[in-house]
Amino acid sequence: MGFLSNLFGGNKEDKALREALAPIYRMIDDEKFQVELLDPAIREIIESAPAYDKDPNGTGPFGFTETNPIPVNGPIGQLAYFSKLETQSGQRILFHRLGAMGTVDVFEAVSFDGREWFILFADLYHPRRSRLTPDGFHFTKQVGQFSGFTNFCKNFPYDFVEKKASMRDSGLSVAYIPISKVSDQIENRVFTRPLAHKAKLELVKSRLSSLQTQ
Amino acid sequence: MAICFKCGSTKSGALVACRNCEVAPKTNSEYAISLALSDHLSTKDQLAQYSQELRNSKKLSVPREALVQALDALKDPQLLAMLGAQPAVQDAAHPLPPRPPAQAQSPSTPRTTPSTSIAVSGTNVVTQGGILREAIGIETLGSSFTTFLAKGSKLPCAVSKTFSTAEDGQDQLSLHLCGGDSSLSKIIQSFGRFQISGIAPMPKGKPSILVELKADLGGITLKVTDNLAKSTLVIKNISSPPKPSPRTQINSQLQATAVSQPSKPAPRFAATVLNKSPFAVLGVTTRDNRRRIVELAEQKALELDHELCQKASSDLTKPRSRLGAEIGWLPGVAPRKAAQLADDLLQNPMAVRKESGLPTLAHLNLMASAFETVNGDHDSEDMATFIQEVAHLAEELSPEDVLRDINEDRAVSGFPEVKIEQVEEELSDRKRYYRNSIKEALDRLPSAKLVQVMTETVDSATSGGEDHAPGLIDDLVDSYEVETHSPLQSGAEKIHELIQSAKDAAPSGEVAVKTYVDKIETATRSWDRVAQPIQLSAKARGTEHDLSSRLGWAIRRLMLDLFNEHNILSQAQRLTALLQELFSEIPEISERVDQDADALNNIASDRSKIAEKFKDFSLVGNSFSWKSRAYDVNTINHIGFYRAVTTHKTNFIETGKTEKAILTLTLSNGQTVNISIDEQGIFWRGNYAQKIQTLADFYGYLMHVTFDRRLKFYEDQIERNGHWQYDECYFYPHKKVVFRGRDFDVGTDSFLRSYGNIELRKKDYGVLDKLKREVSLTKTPQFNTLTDTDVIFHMLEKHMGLRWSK
Repeated sequence: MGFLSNLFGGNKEDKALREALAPIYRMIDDEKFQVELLDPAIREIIESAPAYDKDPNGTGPFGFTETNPIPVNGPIGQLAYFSKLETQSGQRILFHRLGAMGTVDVFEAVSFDGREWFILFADLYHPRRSRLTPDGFHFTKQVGQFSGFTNFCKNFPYDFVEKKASMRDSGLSVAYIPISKVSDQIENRVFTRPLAHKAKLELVKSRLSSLQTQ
Repeated sequence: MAICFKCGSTKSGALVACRNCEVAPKTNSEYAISLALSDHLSTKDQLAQYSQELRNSKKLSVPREALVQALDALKDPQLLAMLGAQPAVQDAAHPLPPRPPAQAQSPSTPRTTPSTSIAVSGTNVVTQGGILREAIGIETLGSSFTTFLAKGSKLPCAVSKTFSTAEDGQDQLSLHLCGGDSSLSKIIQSFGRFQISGIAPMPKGKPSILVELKADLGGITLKVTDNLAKSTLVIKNISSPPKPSPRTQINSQLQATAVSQPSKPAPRFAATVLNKSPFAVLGVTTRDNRRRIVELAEQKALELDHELCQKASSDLTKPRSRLGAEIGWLPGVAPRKAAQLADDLLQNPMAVRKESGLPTLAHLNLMASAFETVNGDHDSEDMATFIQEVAHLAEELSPEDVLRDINEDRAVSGFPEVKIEQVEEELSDRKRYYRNSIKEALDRLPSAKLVQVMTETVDSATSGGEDHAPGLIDDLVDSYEVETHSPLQSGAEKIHELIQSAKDAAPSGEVAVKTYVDKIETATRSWDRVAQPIQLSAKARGTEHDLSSRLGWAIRRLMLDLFNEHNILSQAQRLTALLQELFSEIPEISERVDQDADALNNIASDRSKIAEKFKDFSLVGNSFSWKSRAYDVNTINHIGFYRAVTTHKTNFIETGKTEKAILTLTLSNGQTVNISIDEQGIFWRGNYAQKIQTLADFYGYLMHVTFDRRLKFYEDQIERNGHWQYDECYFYPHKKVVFRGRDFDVGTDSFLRSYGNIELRKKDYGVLDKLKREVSLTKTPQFNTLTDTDVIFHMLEKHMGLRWSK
């Protein structure tokens, strides 16, 4: 259990510290606050968009195809949403953004134990995040500290530590999971993409309308 | 890194298209082999080796384990979905996705059916004032521009159009979105080409694809909805993002979105019979032995239907079925080339027509398979050419060559050699298959085009019915004849009814007949269009198409009837021309009708001359006029003509002569018409002698054309009464003439002819009688001959045996 989990999920005694870290809590969970942190131009767009759990016109498996992306509230909303996902086997996920297909962002994700890999699709132009999860996922009961990035990780997920460090300037790094959550796996090189996932990555990358290189 | 399974070139991803040969894997087996030919499953050295193998057309040495792994990966549902619809949008690079159109996402715009939308950046056609600076639309036929949103439209604006699919079961459409100039229908810039996929199966022509284009200050949105199936349609950009035209200024962040008219997607054609050959299914060559076939069948069973693989294996290993499979494949073609040709059928089927150097049977099999891809849009002229190509090639099919090719491969594969009789039997079936392939392709054409293709094919193959066609075309025509017999027969019956109606109407004159001749011409032309291929083929084979022959003769009989019985020349000429045009493929009719046409033309020419000659009487056809009143020649019952020259004298000295002629016509209604020319008359001016001669000629003409009618008048009396009456006499054929109760025996008494009358004298006519004749106040026994002169002298000769020397 990490520092923030203890703070928000268990130890309720240290109220002073809790109050001091309230902005971090808001950053992780408060949808309106997450939107307020955005550039005013983007914020205006997001606030004028419909709020729903799922695109009523979406088709295909929810979250697994660009035709039925997960509605989320901006880039920070993306972080918050994916960070709260947990697989059926109780594993949370590490993730990073591969790029976009039109208005839809494409993310690659892997369970903390490295056993399961995913390609997920999210639409960030909504005022709140979806209350639904893609098939095979549920929301974690833990505090959803951020476990991924809205930009591309060249050596995903082995570069998690460096990437997290690079978030300091944004002020978001404090809301991330502790390194200890994934350090063993990184050290043991457990993250190996299966063949099907590699094939999907190739296909997705060949179709991205915007490709992130860093 | 990966190697293209087709050409062996290096490419960036296993499942993407090769930049060298532009081929992308499409089938499960191609996906599997492509994954195996990538650094996901192979080392760099292995990939180099595979590349060499592919480039040198050698057998790939990919281990089976790699294929099994690939096939296992291909069970991933998300991967399968990606390989299926492959939806994607290309856009300018941007760290954040472009803003979605607010209008499209608005909750105030409820959407009850599935749809999706797409945005295209890099095209700014919106002014800062919210006005479209150029029209947005789609490319339509002939690369012209069709406006959806007009130039100058104030935002927000929207347009929607409903489209239908062009083919049964069509599951995708492609659109080309453009900016353009409405007035010139000219495309100014392309916004990209888009593929809309996921259309639920439906009959062609059903309007159900709703394409909506909306523009507001936030951008432009394309939405596509399948109204019928309530299914979402995926839009994919299938072209590179276009560079803006220099004429288009980009000065804001607004984005345009694309829509275009649905059109058929660039197809990858469905597997043909040849692609379903056991050789193609298993990837077996004609030189593989029994063991290799079984191995490949087992391997293929991992990815394909097990029973299908088992059957293919059985077909290739059992002697009885193997020959059929070999004949249906590409015998004599090198294995690699054979595989390539089979795949080419899926990419560009018509390209196999241009192949050269192929064994005849193999080429025929490829072309027959290409026929499977022919649809109703195929150009009729090209289709006719294609059929002839196959037909002529089939003529060159040699059982000996096929036997040699098959046995050469069998010598390698270890299967027992076959005999010529077996090959001949299989080839006989094969020819039937070619015919059926063509026939099925023809059946997919609209009816009018089918007939057109058949006609063009037979006409060209037989040089207009002069040469023998290839046997395959004869077979095709035979099938066509069987299938068109019923409608042709029914059509012919209707035309026969019209012919009868025309005959019935003929006594009422030309106007009544013309109506039916019009209908006969129209119906016969339509009928002949369908019968034309059969007529041409029959002519080339030296036979006749029975239905055509009967119809042709029936029309000719009508023509003769109209002219001979009713003197309706112009309609007879029309029918003759029709027969000449439409029934030229029936030699006997053609020959007779040509003679008819010559005769009628001569008659028409004569009539023209006559009309000119008798222009004073305005003679047209059967009508003439006199003193502003029109008369019908057919109503003349009797004709009399009197011509006299009067010599004028003073004191016994001749002072001059005047001539006079009177033509008296008695009509069927009892009316008498006198046409008189007198040098003192008021109607004639100029050369009176000439005029009188013209009247005399007119009299001659009328005598000629009414002779039968007037003769009938007297003949009918004989038939009815046993005699005929003329002037004051009763004529009893070959017996006597009775004048005022006195009998004159034709055998013994005398009949003296003088100008205008015939005097009757008893045989004992003596001096006393002469005296009486001179002094008697009673009329001398005689009858005048000025009325119906020609008829009366004909009757006197025929029925009384009386003739006089001229």
